[in-house]
Amino acid sequence: MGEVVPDSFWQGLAAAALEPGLRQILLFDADSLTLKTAVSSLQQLLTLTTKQKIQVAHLGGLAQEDDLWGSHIPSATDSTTGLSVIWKDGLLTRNWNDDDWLLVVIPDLTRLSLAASRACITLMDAPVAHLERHDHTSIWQPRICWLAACPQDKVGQVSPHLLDRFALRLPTPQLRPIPSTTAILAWLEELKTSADLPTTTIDLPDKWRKKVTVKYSLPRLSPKAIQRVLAYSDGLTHPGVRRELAVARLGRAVARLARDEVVSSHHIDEAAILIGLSLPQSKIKLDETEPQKPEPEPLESETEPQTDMTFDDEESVSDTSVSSESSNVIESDDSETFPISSPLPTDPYPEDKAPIDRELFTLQLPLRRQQAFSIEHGAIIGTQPADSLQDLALIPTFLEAALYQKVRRRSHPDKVNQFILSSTDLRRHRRIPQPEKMLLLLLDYTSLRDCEWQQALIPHLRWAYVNRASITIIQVGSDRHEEDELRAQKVVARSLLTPRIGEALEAQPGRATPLAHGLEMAYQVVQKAQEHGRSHIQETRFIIITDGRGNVPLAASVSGQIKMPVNREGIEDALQTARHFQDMKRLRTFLLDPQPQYHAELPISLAEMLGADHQEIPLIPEVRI
Amino acid sequence: MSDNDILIFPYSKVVGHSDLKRALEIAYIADTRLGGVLVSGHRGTGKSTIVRAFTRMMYDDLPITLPINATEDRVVGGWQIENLMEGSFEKQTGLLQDANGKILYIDEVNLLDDHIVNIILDTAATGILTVQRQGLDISEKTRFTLVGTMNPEEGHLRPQLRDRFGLMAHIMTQSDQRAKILQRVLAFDKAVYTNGEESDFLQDANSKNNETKAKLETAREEFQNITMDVDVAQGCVDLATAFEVIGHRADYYLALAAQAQAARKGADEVSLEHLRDVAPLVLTHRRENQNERWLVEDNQRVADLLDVGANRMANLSTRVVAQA
Repeated sequence: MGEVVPDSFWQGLAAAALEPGLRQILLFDADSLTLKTAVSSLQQLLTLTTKQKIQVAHLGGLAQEDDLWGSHIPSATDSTTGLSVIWKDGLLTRNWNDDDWLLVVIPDLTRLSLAASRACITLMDAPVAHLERHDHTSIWQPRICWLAACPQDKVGQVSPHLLDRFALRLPTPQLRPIPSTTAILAWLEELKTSADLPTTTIDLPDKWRKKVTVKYSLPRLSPKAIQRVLAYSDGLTHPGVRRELAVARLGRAVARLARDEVVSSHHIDEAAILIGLSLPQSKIKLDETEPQKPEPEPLESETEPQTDMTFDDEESVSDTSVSSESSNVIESDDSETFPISSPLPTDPYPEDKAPIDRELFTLQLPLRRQQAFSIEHGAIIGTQPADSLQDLALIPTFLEAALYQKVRRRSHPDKVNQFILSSTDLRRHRRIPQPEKMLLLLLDYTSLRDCEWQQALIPHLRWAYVNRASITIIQVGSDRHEEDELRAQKVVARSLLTPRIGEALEAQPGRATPLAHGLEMAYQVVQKAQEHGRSHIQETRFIIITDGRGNVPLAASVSGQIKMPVNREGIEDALQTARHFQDMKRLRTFLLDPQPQYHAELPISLAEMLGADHQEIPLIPEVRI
Repeated sequence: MSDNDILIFPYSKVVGHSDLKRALEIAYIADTRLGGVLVSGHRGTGKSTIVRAFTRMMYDDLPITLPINATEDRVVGGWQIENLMEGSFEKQTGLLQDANGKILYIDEVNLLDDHIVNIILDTAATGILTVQRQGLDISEKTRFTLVGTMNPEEGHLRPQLRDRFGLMAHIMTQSDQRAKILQRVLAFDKAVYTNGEESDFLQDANSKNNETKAKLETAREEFQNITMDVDVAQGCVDLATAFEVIGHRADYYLALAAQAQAARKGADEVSLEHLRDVAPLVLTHRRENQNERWLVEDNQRVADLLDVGANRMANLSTRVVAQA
């Protein structure tokens, strides 16, 4: 089954095959067909340009460090000891000792495991890699091409540090399978011997095969081309030069594919179009005054003027203009014309504008800490020495013990046929700690105006931070969801450090106050957190800040339609719902009273219904006066 | 392919980053006495490149590198497993021993497992590597220059570890240097493309690297012969006091770093100007607010505190020249 692959996509992949600095490719919103097509195409292109075998490895959400870097595994039984272990290279180190290249495919960057993310940071765009694990030490030059897919609307979940490593961002083509009767019949024939679905292979068009195999010297960038590269990042505030380098290298690849000896500003423009990069507005205006036809451009000098390596502290690097001392002018090949920058089809760097949807410091390993409860919860991220039998990692324990069997049996001749285990062999799983405490915060934004609620909240936020509690905020009457103002909204985060918690706290008051719905939602959250048998939440602290003046009946929140007049229905519904919390265990409730000028009794009544500690929030000084 | 066949961007072709270069060179001249250099900078600013380039230039080799995937046995040493499986004991040294007298480099130091951090802290604090595990009983001296690079977006460093770095350099890419950086990196690409053969770029770089290396080696030899006047020592105390630094090492490190800077500049005596040059590197991470950036105002404050006015500096310079 074939697909229509647009030429621009071929060009992008061919550029990556030619330029090692572009072999970190990110495709936004690529479906499985597109990704498989890209893998197949890239594998063929890389085979041609590297002249080596290309191994393909898939990196997912479960990979742990030993899987990635290598580990000891059991081998065939040793006749004298009864067992043996051997070293097995990991997914990312399997080609460290040969000439093969590795094509690492990441089907969903947002689901990459912590260990894999850290490995990517270490290996991507690195001239040298180091392995220092389990008695093994290696230094090698990574030969890896990275190809990842990422849903664009979830890019805020990924560390920008990791995203920055992806030099080449290619707009994802919409591939359409071409129906083929021959392919169907061939597949049916194959099914007689194999139950596998047809593999997605695509034949590399001759045109691209020729383009990447022509032996050609590396084109030089003209000074104008370098200035053009810089023009694309003018006014942007990203750190480092990776993006500029990516555009420059892509421009160089474009020139190579066109068999040009000099990279001109037009090659750079074509490169920018390939990744969907547009000039800043200020540069577009200037650009309109420039000629559209490629002009011969002077070359940069091969050995640009150097600063003296004296020990002067301020190296004279103020020379920002690119050296143009060489007067060599090579006529560029005009047989192909290059389009000038076109309107932006996509944004290659959506992470710059995406809302942050991840915790702070996502690449750090969680602290090793002792937990009183539920140590078996949390995803496994590795192993560590154990001093108890709890949550033992059996295979790593066995493998550790296996190393010492010969030595131990020599000391214990009476146990020559036994497997001798020592307490130092014990290994237990290392897991991402699960929160054992939860802070549930119901914020009625329509009641906060006159009181110092942030100050009143600080002790509870501190409690959440110190206890590494998960956070749920029930937003009642915020301006963030005006289209659904009859309902409360919920914001959930693993910890207080998640940026969206800060955003939730900064919301402004809206018009409606669906307090009853907010309490109902809070009730469901607590119930779920305390679910028998599966829960790891040992304690919940429920904080409510409201003046008790709900003006949306529960029925209206459920149906999404309100019948006027409301009268006290919203208030009564809230009081009734609050009653459910009285009998809940492992729950401590605080009602922080904003001391409303009218109906000051409502918060007190609500606190009684909840069985909550009632605390008054100080009014801001102006209101007090 | 051996380690030396891996082409590393040459140190002499690094554009800008004078603070980091100065810090690395001073740490080299002071020969492990300064603890190390912490390099903080955002992604893509060339932190690792510069450290590798410096080590390749000075030691003709890559730095002893402690990767964030390192396991404990490789950090402190252990048994050679293949021999162990055969029933014989043969020790394998760890990275902390291998780095004795050299640079121990940790890329992404703020992503290091806290357990490994504890091991490094224990060793760095005492200068003695103590290992008692799996039947090993090791206690031996090891001193190294710890060089760590980190991206502050990915978290901070524990204060205890931060304090172990005698010097710290914040680096960022200046917008007016981008063209030159591009030009040089692309030229290096070309050298890699041809596997370094007949590369004018690399030949030129090697020649300049050799000059720098020779000067730094001379400075290191002369380091112990540099003298310090009492008013410079007083300047160290004044700076440490005025900037309300945390810990007790700042004044010592100021003195050591200034002495190395004097050697680096070819002087016989440490001047207040040398002290002024190194003050940001020593003080920036020891202030109470450790995330505070070093500003131009801080430079002015240092100059004012040291009274590095034109007259005094002129007199001092004259004296140095006269003594020379």
